[in-house]
Amino acid sequence: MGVDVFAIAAAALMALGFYGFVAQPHPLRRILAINIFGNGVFMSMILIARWLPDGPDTVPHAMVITGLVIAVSASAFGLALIRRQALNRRSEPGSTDD
Amino acid sequence: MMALFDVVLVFTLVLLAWRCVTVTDVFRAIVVFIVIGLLLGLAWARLEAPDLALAETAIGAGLLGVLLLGTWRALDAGERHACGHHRAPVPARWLAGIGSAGFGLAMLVALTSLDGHPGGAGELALNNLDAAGTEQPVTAVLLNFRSYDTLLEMGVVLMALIGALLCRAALTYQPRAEDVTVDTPLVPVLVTAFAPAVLLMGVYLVWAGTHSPGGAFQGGATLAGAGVLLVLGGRLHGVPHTALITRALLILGTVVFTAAGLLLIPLEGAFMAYPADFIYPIMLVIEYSLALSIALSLLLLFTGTHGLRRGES
Amino acid sequence: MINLLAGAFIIAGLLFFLAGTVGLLRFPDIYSRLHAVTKADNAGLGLLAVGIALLADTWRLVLLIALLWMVAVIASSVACHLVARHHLREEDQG
Repeated sequence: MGVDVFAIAAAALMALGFYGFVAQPHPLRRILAINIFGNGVFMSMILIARWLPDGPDTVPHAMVITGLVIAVSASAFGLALIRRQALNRRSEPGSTDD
Repeated sequence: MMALFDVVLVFTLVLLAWRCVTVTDVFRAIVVFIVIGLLLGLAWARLEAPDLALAETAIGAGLLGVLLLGTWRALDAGERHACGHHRAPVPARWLAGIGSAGFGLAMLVALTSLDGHPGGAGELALNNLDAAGTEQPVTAVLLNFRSYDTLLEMGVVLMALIGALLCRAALTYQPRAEDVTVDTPLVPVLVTAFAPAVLLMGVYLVWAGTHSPGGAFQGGATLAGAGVLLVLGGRLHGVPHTALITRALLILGTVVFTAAGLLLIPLEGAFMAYPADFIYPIMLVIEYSLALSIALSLLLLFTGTHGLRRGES
Repeated sequence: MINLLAGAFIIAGLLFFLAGTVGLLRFPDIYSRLHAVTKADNAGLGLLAVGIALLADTWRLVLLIALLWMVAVIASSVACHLVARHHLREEDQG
């Protein structure tokens, strides 16, 4: 059997997420990029879970669900930081264009 | 036939991820990201991970999407585009692109060339499923075999919430004009019709976790979704203080989980070991308390307020 | 026979989806785009649901499909209404 298409997807998601994180300076887009990267990692773990001969390995599945919830919590914290940063910038007079 | 479907799915996913990181408009990037989340849900279903498919659509696409859009709306026009930052210069972007492509290729080689040596933990989990009090292997792993992970995860969610609330302490909740005017008759009707159904679905998903795909996280996220619907429809409002009941519900999952682990030490002789006779009710109680805490945490992360109050209407 | 009928319904539904998507991409302003995408997709989803319901083994499944279709139709109509309304307001403001 050749290359699994989902392996290509996992690698591509990681690469694109990495690129987005480096190349896009907007903080909201960095959060998007980290999440895309994370989805690539999740997909690799799910692919590895399929190696078990009798049905998919549920330990990586459970770990990915844990990871997903933590990713969303961390992203929500990041979004709160972005809001706070915007608020601080707004309260400093004349510094909107730095 | 399904191979063709997989190819189309992967192609679309990669294309959308490309759009998401390169498109100039932040709003478009967010919308594309939500679509990626939904397609990932399909991909998880194809990869025999239905639990994950549910979690992804409810948490990854649904709630994270709502959080992202809410933050985008809170930024003003200048911040939406530049946010005071400059785009990296073209040579740097090329360098980043080449580096990322190399990294992706290396990952692809690693993923395809590793020999399929299955992990021992998975087989161990499947073989000991009888002892776990649930036929659903993912729930068994989450709540029993690797319960430390789940307990600590609850701690992380709580920490994220506290951190987010601290960051936004200066932002007293002031509904904008367009927030409060739900003057179209359709929205209240929609909320009235859908909120109970979504709540019921969340409760069902938690219970379903004991024997089929579903569980505390998927159910909790669905309950949080019902809460988001109620907030957007003006039935719930954020308030700047935390009521006692809110605090109690926020820590309920962690407390019940820890208490179940600690109180049963004399009986079983180990932390988080459950007696085989009562394992099903114990699991159910833990699942529901986890789901309630997760739902409230996620909902407060959405409103960004310390508490909630019922609306007048 | 049932299979043939279900296939016909599913293909018809997919054609509606195709038409709706072409409309979404090609129509000039937001109102006609919304019109194309909600109307065609609701009809397409309905046909698709009928096709799949014909293939379903149990009545429970048929009921669930019908419920799903109803929820999707209600949600998409309200979403369409809200998008159009938001756009109208922004135009009013200038």
